[in-house]
Amino acid sequence: MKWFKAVFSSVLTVALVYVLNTKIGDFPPLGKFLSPFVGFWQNAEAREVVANKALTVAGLKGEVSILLDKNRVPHIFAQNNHDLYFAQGYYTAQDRLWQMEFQTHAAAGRISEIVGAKAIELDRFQRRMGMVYGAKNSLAGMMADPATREMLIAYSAGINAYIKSLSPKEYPLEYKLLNYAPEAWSPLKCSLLLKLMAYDLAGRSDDLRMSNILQQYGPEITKNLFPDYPFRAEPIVPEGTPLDFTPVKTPPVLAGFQAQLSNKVLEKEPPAELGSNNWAVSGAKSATGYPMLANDPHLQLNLPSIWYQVQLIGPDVNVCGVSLPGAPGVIIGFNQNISWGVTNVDADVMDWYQVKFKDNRKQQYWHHNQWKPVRRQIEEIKIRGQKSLFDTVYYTHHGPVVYDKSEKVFNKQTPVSHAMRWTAHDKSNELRTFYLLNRARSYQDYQQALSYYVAPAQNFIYADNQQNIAIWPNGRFPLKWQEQGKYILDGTNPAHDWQGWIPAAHNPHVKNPARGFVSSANQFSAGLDYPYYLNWQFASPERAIRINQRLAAMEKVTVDSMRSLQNDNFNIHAQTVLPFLLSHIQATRLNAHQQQVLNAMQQWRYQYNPAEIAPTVFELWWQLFNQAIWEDDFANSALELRYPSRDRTIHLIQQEPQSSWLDNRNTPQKETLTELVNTSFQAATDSLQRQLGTIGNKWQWASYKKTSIQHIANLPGFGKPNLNIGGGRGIVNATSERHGPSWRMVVALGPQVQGYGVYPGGQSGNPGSFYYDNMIETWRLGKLNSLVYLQKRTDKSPAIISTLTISNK
Amino acid sequence: MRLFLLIFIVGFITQLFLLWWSLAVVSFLAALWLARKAGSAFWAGFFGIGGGWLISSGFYHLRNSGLLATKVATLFTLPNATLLILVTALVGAITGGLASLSGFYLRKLLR
Repeated sequence: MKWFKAVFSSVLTVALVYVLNTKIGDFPPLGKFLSPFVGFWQNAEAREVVANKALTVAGLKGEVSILLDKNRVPHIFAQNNHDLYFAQGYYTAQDRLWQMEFQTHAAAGRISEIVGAKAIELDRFQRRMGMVYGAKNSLAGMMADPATREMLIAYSAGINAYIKSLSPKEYPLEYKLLNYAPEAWSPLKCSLLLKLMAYDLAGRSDDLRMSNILQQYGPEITKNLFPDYPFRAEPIVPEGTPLDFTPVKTPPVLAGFQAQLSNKVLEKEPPAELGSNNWAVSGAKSATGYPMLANDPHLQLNLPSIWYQVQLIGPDVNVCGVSLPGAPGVIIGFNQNISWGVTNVDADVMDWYQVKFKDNRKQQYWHHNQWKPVRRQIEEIKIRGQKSLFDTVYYTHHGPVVYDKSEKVFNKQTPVSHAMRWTAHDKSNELRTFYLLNRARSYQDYQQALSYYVAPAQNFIYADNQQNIAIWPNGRFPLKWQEQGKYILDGTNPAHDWQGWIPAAHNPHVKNPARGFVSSANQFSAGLDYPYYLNWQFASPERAIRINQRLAAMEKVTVDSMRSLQNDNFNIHAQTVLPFLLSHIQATRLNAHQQQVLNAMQQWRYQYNPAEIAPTVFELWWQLFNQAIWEDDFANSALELRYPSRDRTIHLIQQEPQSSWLDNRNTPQKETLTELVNTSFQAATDSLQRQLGTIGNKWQWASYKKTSIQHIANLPGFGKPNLNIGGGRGIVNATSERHGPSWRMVVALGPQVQGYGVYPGGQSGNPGSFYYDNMIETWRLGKLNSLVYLQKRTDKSPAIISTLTISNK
Repeated sequence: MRLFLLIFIVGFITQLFLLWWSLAVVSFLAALWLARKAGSAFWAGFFGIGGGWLISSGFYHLRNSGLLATKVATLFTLPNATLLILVTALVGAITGGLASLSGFYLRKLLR
């Protein structure tokens, strides 16, 4: 019995310790995780920031000072560029290490290593998209340039110095939760992060859907419903802007390739609502007499935030703004002389080529009248707790044959494969653009910086203290014939390959226009008088129209008027179509409750303010109405198709009210416009009534929309759900359910530049920090923080709460 | 009482520098040396380790105004942070108690 008790209790103890030290399913090792000595309690930070701290780190050339302001933004002073980027890497890692590593793991298709088999499909997708292939090509470009090479190496060394300084109990919380450890950083990871942005912003493609539509409806209908330029356009570079270059010859139009029907669309596409606003007003229009600039990139709303504020001060640079944790330099910001910002360009830089393999072994493909070798890349996807999975990705000279939805094969004899051609796969050096912009003093410097930029293409807006404003929709654009890449291209025909590039100096641009402002909101880069084809579709122009209307009406522009425009909740789309829809409502058909809703709609002034009820109704109504028009024609089919654009739909209902597209082909009777308007209104009203009861507070836009900021790994409790905030899709204040202004900035140029900005998050990535989400409320209220911009290390700004001195060990 | 104090103090210091499960080794060895009865051995380990875990998690919790514990409680679907502190202390306590009890039984065996 004695023996039994001793052995039994000892075995039980060891077993208990083992279980508490082991990750089981989604549960962290409970003993290790809950221990106040090493576990998550260690990440529960105090509110106070230590006022002065000195430490030594191996790898610095001189001494670095990091001054923290009251939002804990680092202002980094260094004596040379190496130390500057080293310190940026070191300090960014201190705040955001887990996020930096997780995002680059995601880009590289390595999430299964952390979370196990549930991420296999995600990882496989990233591998098939050639994300690492693209990152390696870009890295070659960045490492070939001495300045950006130094940046990447120093930044990586700084991150690694920080990682090396950590003991397991100091690991960021998420490592403890998922029970793993940080690995060494490398310049490739910086490149992967930039590819992740490229995918988010330039990773959408409708080529296959458009090919299917062309097959099903023929060229005439396709051209009619999917035109190459909208009826209502508001191009970034206004029509009539004189060209300051002689266009080069574009390749001759090649039509007639009929791609095979296929359902192989990308299984994962970035959301369409990623977009952004920016604008700049001239000194003549501003209250200060100097230009002002505003920018708000709309991205997914996450914690930790995609952005990290920083000021970098070195011998040849003093720049302030936001960086991407994981990439050196400042991406959006200002210096003493200039300010710049970006919005996405929806140019078509991703095309698909139908590949003809010799046989099922996929060793050779037909191109230029010969069989060419296929490059096979074996991808090893490591899976936590399981054996690795090996996947083969096939590369033609176009690019990778991307993994597609595999369940539906239309023609079993010849399964169709498509190779992807994407500018984000090319050798490039976007970092050089930011290196130069951070140091730019004039319009010439800005223009030169832009000439290096490849992908993802951005509308670079510009203002300086020499009274210049400008905008360049900029990136490396393939020199295409009209509509090249609107549909699937012929992978066997060399004439279908991209034939060169639009010269950088020929990218659309406008400088100091007579109207006194420049702006962009992802719409068409230029009008029909621009000599090159960029794409047949861009973002809908509503935000652009509103921005331009308000800017045109403004005089003596102040920082506050810029800020108020960023928070504008007016919906141009509602203003355009609602009176028309209401004019078709037959009130006699409505029941009492529907009548009540109709009254609310009639009184509405198209504002998407948080407490308004009409936006809730309008959003659902338009969605059901649009569906009623197109679903029978473009969704019921077993094929992947898409609806015509909003612009085309508006034109159809207003100018072609008798169109047969309005009829539902699945019913014997003939539906009319009036019929669709009324039934969709009733359906929307009734649906809301079922969900939310009769019209009342529950119908309010903010509580219906439920804007939420979520933790990157979707950890419950670590985000900020259900914010009381207005705005929405297609509105200048583009705050939708999960997306919105990820950084709002206003910069007043002048003898003393002054910047303002805020992002929905906080500088610390630690959920146990007071600086994890401290700026969200300022952001929600539409306010901006005044940005601390120091000149000298000895500047006694009252906003500085802490100084960290780092010297070489 | 002597066993409790020994486990509490030595356990606390050891955990500051070693892996979390060093608490089990300390409780086990302390009981092997000092334990008199099974019940008192268990409770000495239980309160010696659990007390240390309660005090330190409570300290971090208060210093942090409950910011993180509230989030982690939500993650584990616990109703509030106080319960999370109790769960934390209990995990340490049971491990400490069991290790201490094992130490006592081995002591009896060796006599």
